[in-house]
Amino acid sequence: MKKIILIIMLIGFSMNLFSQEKFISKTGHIWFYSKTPLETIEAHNNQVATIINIKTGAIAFDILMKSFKFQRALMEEHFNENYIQSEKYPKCTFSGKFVDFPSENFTKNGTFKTVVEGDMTMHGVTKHVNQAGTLEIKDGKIYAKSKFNIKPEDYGIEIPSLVRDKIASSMEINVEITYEPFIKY
Amino acid sequence: MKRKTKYIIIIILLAAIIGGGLGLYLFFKPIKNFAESEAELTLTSKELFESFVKDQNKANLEFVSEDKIIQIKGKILEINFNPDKTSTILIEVGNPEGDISCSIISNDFNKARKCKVGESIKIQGQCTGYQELINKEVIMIRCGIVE
Repeated sequence: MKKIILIIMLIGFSMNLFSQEKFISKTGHIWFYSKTPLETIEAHNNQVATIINIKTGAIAFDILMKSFKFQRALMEEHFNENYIQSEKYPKCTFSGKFVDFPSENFTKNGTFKTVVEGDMTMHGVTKHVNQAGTLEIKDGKIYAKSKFNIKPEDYGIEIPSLVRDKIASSMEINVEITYEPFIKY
Repeated sequence: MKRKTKYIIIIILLAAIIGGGLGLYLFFKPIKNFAESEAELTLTSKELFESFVKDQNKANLEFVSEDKIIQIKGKILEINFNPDKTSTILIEVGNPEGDISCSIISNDFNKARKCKVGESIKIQGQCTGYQELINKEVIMIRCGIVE
């Protein structure tokens, strides 16, 4: 009798593992570079909130712009006050899905390339984007990596001609996230 | 006449030196030391969290816009270590649906390693806002562990 209960409990437990739909991270790392011959500017955000639903293939990001850390106070001030206007537009959000979503890939260990497509809102401007990235599934965690470029002008961010030489026309964005199964709080 | 020109040149030179100096100072001005300077505002994790839940805009103006050094007191909910020697400590807010996420500077990595879940902690840093994609979360960066 005890054995049967144990077996039922084990089956229940393993089913629970497989039914895990949502994977989250609240400590996602997103950083960007602006590279010009005159100056390289770099800023990091280690507290990106993001969620993947492996059943539907949906993916979403919530990024607080003020959490980007620069090397110098003036850069940070310009970024927050003049360019991204973080007081008026505190967040960058992305909501989309994996294209050609192979849901079975998410349940076994392995690495594969994928494309994410969806709407990104930044500085009050929403754009439909698609970006390539790599996913590694390892021991119940999802490791996501991506690297792409964004032009500030596409999001209505104007860089004055006086500093134009010091700020790249295209920012290199890097994304590195470790997703863990979501346990309801 | 000659004397006047001399004065004008001196004044222009002085203005250039002061202007240039101010420019250089602003350019190289370091980031405020949120982790180690004297705190400008002290409150409990619950008070900070509730302010954001109640009125996000008001809380943003009060805690985010002015870049104040904010010190909070609360219980540790979770500790995460990042590959770049920074760590993230989540603080309880008396509400199971929320927390305050504090990113700890690399200088305090060893202090963070000694912390234990459930312990009481004092952390100070810069508050950057509120997000609610996963749960309700107030974000703090450049944090130092006070005790």
